[in-house]
Amino acid sequence: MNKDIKEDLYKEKINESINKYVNNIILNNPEFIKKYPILEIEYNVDGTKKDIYSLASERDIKKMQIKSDKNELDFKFSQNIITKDEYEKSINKIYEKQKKQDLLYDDLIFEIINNSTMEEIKNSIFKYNLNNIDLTRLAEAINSVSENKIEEFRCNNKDFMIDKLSYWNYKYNKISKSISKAREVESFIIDMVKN
Amino acid sequence: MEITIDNLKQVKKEIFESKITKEEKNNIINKIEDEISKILSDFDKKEEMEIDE
Repeated sequence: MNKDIKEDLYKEKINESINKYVNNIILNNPEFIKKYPILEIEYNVDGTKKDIYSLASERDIKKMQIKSDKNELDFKFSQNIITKDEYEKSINKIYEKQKKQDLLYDDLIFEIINNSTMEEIKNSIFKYNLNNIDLTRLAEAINSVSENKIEEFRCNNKDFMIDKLSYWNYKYNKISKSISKAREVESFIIDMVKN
Repeated sequence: MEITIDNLKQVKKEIFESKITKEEKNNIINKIEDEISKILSDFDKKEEMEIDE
């Protein structure tokens, strides 16, 4: 049992260390972003990390792009420009792409919530001077991230064996702390809307 | 490159490996192993306590 847990923990910890280390490398060497364009999702061009609002907005924009791709496919299918088979294949590809994108953005937003103080998060939101519509969107995005993370935990939960109870508790405590912090951020944003 | 968690992790791993010295890497690994040992020992203690109860 301990061997499996040890491997899982090792993956988790090495990943955390790589993230911390790479954040500093990219901050000092932003040219890496040009070399590896996938980094543009997480980092600004100057090598600083994007904040919650930037990530949540980009997540929304990417969702809208996917919705627009879907509408285009619906139109082509309705006009018999593509066959049912082509339509279904393309739709599945779109959903798959959306799922992967969501998972990535959820992870990045969740990581910022975990690794920042409430004060840092609040300041990063204040600086945009957002209107109520943008604040509501941001609160909804954070809510969706929390829901997806709970669902992810539920799915992984099925793989846990009863003899790994301590490890399950460890994972559960970790995720519940993060979810509760995400809920706190969400409430803070909703309060800003009310005022 | 497709936008996925695994691809982003892979890129970060490449950057990490390209910049880190052997000594730094060993220090990180030793630190992680100490941390994991502590976590596993806490698990064992908790489970022993539960059995005793």
